[in-house]
Amino acid sequence: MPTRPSPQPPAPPRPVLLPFLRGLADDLLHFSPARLWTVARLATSEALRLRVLGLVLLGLVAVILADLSTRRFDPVFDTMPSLIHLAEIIITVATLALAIFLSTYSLPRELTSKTIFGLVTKPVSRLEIVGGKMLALVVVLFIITFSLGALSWGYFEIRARQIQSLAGREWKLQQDNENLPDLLRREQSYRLPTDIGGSALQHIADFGPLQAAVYQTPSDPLTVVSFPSSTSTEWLTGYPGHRANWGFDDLPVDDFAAGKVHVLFQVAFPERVRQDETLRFLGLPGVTDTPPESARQVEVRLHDELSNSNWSDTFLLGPDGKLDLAIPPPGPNSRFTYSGGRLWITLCGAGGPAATRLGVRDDSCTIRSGDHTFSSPCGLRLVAPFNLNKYWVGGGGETSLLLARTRFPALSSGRFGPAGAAVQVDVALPSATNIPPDARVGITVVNESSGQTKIATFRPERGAAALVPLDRDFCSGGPLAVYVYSRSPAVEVGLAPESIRLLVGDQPFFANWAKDLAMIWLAACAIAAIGVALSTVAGWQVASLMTAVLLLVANVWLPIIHSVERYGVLQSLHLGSATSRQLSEAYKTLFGFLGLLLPDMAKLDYGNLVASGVAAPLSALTALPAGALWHVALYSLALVLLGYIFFRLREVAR
Amino acid sequence: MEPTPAAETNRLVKVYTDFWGRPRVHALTGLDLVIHTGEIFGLLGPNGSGKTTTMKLLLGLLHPTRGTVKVLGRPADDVQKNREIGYLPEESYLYPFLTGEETLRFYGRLFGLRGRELDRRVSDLLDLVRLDVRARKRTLKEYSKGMSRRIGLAQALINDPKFVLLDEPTTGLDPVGTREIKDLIISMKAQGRTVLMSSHLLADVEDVCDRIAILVRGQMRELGSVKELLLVRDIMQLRARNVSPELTAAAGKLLADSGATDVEISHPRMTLEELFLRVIAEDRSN
Repeated sequence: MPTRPSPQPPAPPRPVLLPFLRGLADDLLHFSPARLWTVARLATSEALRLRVLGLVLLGLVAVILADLSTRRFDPVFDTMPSLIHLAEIIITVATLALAIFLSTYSLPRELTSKTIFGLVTKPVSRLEIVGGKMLALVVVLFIITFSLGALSWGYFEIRARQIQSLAGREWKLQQDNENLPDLLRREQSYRLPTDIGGSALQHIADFGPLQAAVYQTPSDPLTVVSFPSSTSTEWLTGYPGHRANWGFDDLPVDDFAAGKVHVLFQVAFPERVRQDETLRFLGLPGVTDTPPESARQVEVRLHDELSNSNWSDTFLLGPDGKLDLAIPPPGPNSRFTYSGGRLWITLCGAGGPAATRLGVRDDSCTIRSGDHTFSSPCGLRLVAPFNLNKYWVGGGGETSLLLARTRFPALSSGRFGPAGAAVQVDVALPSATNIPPDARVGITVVNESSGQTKIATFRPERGAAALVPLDRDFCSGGPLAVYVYSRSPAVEVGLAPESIRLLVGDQPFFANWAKDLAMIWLAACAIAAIGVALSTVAGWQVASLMTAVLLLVANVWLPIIHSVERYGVLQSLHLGSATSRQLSEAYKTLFGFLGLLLPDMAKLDYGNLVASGVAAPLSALTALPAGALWHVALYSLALVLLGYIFFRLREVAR
Repeated sequence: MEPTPAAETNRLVKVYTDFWGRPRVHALTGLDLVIHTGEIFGLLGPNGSGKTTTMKLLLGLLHPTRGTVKVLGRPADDVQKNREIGYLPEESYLYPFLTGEETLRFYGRLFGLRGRELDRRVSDLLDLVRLDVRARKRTLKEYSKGMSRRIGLAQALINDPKFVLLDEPTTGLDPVGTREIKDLIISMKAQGRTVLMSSHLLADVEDVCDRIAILVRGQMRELGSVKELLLVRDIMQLRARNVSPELTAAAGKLLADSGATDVEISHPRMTLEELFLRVIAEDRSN
């Protein structure tokens, strides 16, 4: 007999969390790379059928038009860097635009056209759907980036042959003309290691412009050494390698034992404490008159040369920059003993690179023992990387002042070309001053194994690097230490992390170009991950707009977000109560989280280096790709998981 | 011990909400339904009665607001249950840039079919739904509605499912195609599969279903076997051949005299579908 169902009492609300967690575990447990690839293959073929490959030809036309419509100051030296840079910009814009479009289009289109029904009613988890979409984007973006890059490379080759021919003509002209202006000779004075002795013009005429310099990575980072005087103040920046040292001799051992010795620090803060360069530049509230706690955190280290005893701890400087520290430091864990040797006292900022700006002078550290006060000259050591573009040293009136040093590992003979290697020293000069005629910078290269030494002195000039050629015998067998000295009393020079380099050869530029394309591809993948995650919760119009905004934020505003995280508005108000401190912590956490949501595009910014690396050796390309790859891979994975969670909670039919 | 039902809902409620979470439409209001293994079950009801919502809840395309849904003994949002089910949506939502064959290959790969097994399965299904060799190589955007339904049905059967959900399976098909699909559904039952179908076409449901449920405004109003539900118990029907007009008149008088009311004696009518099929069959035989 047919039944007529009677009304039932309403069921309890559906539990959400437990079924969700069970489904999550189930999806991970049954994850199938084969299904992921099947979904990805379909999405790839869908994207390619949208005629995105037409973009490749369009991009090539744009590269050619941009090249033809750009005027160069010097066709031989400027054409290839600017062409490469233009091509890089065009490929970046095309790839990122495509990444935004495809990533935010695919999933919403499946939802609106309801083809998603065919997927979610098969044994395909939402993780495999979102992951498959992402994988398809990775493949499509790879195809687009490298196709356009390969076509552009072909165009580079054509242009490079034209330039080589032009350079040959100019080189012959220069050979015939002994009255060539000095300026022109200097502009062309870069020498490449396989061709030491010839000029860059000759090199281009012989080998073409598409050559990239290869550098040996130093085993020790560049250490800049500076000695402030008793009147001038040097600023510590808060990097771990940036510290001030004072060495004290002949201190009374008995007073140490009796606990009568105090170390007194008197450190200066900037008039208005610089909290963040970007914020200050933009005129946003980022500076304050009173140093915050993070700017006053310091680490103090003690080292007795004779007993090799060490001690270190962190302290908070007073708002006036003073710290009175009893040594040996009290406390059961203090094992420092002074036995009468030279006592080294080291001070460095502990509040982080952006927080610390500590002004130190010779007399910033004194030791008081009873009625006696001891003082000592101060030395600063700054180990790259530093947060300034250049660090200015020298000019202290001394004629043999060590400015910087670095060290390179032992080279095998196959590592450098037949002409050997060369040390390149590129120092900056203050732009507003005339260079004195007697200004000199000395370079000493030591093979630490054989003990061979090579000494060179050069007159620093703007736009020209000094090269010290090293033959094969000198280079072989041991690590090379390079020291840079100031040989003139009044000249101050600027040093950057890449100021001292060891050139070991040059290779076809193609490798650098491929690396640059890889960086563009990785950047596009990171943006695509944002698009995919957003497309699981929003329609394609909203998702693409939001992705574009986040791309902009990641490129331009990420430093600001990090600054606000560190020095937010609440910090500058200096509210003392516990509530405001908690609020401040929550605020920092929030901005820290915002920072995590965005890819660090600075890690992928590669183009300038590549363009510069054509003929003028400036590339520092070796270590970047692996780090960038990991950054993008982890970031994309995190966003795919986030998108999966959104998508799992979402109903696909209404 | 009773076998696990193919599908089971318990006090199932589905409320559609707007962007802000405010309730807008009460699509289902406490649906209790059990679909037994091996039967063909029909869901009937006017537009907006909750048929498609019920089907989407069973498939996990929607989340229930209250109540529970189980398919083949598993929760509806369990992806693994999909290994044993096939679904034909009310319209064939397929990728228009793929050919018929590529479509089946794609869905087959999602079930882990590879190589010869996939080739054989694709070929068998294309034969089953009567898509000719030329049609197989054409992209779906060139397909007619009937062809799309056929390829849609083929994809629903790619995994040889135990439980098939068909939403308006005969929409867009000509009567011959409709008959073929109905025969196919009946043959599925013979193979031991469970079929749940929803349709506006009552004749289709009547022809193939063992049991039906009628939904109105999200509530079940009738549930039972087709035979029982369609049986009109207070009316008798007599059928005979070679009856003379006199006998007809006498029978009518006898019935009226013995107290029967609303007496009507007339020739039976075939359904339009039966007429159409007969004409087509004659045309083919000629």
